[in-house]
Amino acid sequence: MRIRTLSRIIPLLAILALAGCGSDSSAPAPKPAEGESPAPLSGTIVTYGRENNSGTYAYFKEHVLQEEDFDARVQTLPGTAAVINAVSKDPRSIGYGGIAYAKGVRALKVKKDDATPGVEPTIENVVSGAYPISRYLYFYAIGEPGGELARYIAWTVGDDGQKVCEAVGYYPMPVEKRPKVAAGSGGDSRKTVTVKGSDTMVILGQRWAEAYMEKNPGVVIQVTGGGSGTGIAALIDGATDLCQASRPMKPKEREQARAKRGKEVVEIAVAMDGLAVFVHESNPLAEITLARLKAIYTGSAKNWEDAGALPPK
Amino acid sequence: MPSPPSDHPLIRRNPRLAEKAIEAAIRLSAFFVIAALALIFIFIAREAVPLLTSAEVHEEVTVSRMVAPLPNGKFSWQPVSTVPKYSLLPLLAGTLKVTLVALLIALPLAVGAAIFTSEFAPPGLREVIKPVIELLAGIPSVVIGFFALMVVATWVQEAFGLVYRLNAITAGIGLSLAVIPIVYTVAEDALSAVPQSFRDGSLALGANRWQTAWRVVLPAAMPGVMAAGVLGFGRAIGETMIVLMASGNAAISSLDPRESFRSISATIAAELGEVVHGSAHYHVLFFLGALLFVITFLLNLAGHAWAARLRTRLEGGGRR
Repeated sequence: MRIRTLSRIIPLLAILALAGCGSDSSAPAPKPAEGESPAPLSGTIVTYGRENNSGTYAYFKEHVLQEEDFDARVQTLPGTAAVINAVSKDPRSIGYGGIAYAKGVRALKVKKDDATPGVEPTIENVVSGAYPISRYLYFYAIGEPGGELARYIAWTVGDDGQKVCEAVGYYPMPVEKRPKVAAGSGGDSRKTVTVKGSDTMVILGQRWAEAYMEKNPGVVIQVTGGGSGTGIAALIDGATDLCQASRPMKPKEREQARAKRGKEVVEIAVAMDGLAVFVHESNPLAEITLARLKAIYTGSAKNWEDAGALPPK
Repeated sequence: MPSPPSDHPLIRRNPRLAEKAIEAAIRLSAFFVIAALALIFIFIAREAVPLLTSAEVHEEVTVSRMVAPLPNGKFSWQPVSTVPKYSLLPLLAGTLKVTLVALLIALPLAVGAAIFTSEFAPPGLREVIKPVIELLAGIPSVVIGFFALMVVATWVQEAFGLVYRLNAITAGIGLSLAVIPIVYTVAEDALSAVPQSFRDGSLALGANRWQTAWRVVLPAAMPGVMAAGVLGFGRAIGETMIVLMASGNAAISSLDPRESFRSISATIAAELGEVVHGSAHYHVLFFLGALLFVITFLLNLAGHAWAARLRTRLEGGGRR
């Protein structure tokens, strides 16, 4: 008899599953497709961001949120490409990431406050500093680089390297700010250089490596991503020769590197990047202030009505 | 590992010696597996223990602060912050939520499919169905995760009219694809192992095939079917890549399956790569790993104990 009651567990489970689905379908969630209507967007803002191991996350937190915490509802995705993909499919979403990736979504004009005009994230505006959320992209090495590593770095910040940078859609360093790196002939004779770090920079790094290896047969440059934090940790542990980072190294990290490797960390700014704010193509919003952006990502503005009140484009 | 114990002349000359060597090798491999398990646990525990003992770590986080609400009365997971916050609740809620959704989908489907193949399918069809379902287990979870992210998310959002594209339903469906083949295989084996005489007896007494399958074969195979469920649970709670990709990873303390969530396994995967070796955050992540290990271990134990009780009751001929 007992066995029979047990055998009833399974159909019960099935019924529960069906009931669960039923209640979901009847939930009064608004339809996501707003489509052609030009009226200001309404409803919940779906926020996308980056994982907390990315330089983009750290930069956004520092410069836009002023070190306040992100709202718990911000969905974090691995890589700017994933953020853009998500935003492109979600009419009520907003996301941020490196400008070089922006395809299939619309980048908003960003303004410092209500009084200043919105600035488009273009190459001129980023390089001139008019665009409010722009940053440098860095190379980090342990100690003064030598050998092939020094030659590679010198090439990337030289004219050829910076041209590649522009061709890929990243922003070259302004000529007067380009670092002088001696392509010294010293150092070891190793022909392999490993590069690891920022996901924002991984495409740039790979194009640089390809172009450099074409010009210097026999040299192997291996570039992988993983996030700025991952790259810095690898540099400190000696697992990579060169680290690409989309945020400056923290004093604590420099200290660790000194303690563990016995040498100072060398920082080279190799390119510039702006953080673009993306929305779906159907979103009527044209520009956004840093304060509103902060309100959205800290959770004090939850609906497009709260964040909006801006003229449609 | 010892050198391969069998070569032909040896076997012919002294079969007992060869047998012993093989036995020793097999025993060694069993110990090797157990030792690996023990070593993994020791490694994780050793990295997690500073959370309980180290004063330096306690400046930033303690276990009681991970469990209790934060000063503002909320629970939040913000490990990279000026004041790091390590609440367990949102991660536990997220893990539980997606595991339940995945099992609610996977268990009925997998057990149903197992009953069909072992009891109703013509032999030719069974030879096709079983390997095909088992093939599902061979799909890398990153591929399933990608499928859930790109395809299932759109379906689910349109079907239910959801605000969030990435949610526990989407991730649960993806996860169930990974759970189904495991539950199916083990359950099907258990059902097939029920002696033919049970079915013959039931049919001879006038029961139809459905009554035989439901009232005789399934109860007889129940311990095995439950073991399948426990294995499926272990797979669901520990799976990383699918939830990392399809969950949205927002650390919300909510059991609403229509909302995003952040699971324990995805948190470890996303944050361990970046974390400073030996920091409080590092030890917290290992603590999470140990927690996951303990939860799965206890559930396995409970499942086995339950199955064993059931088995003795079935085999003892019943008290009634």
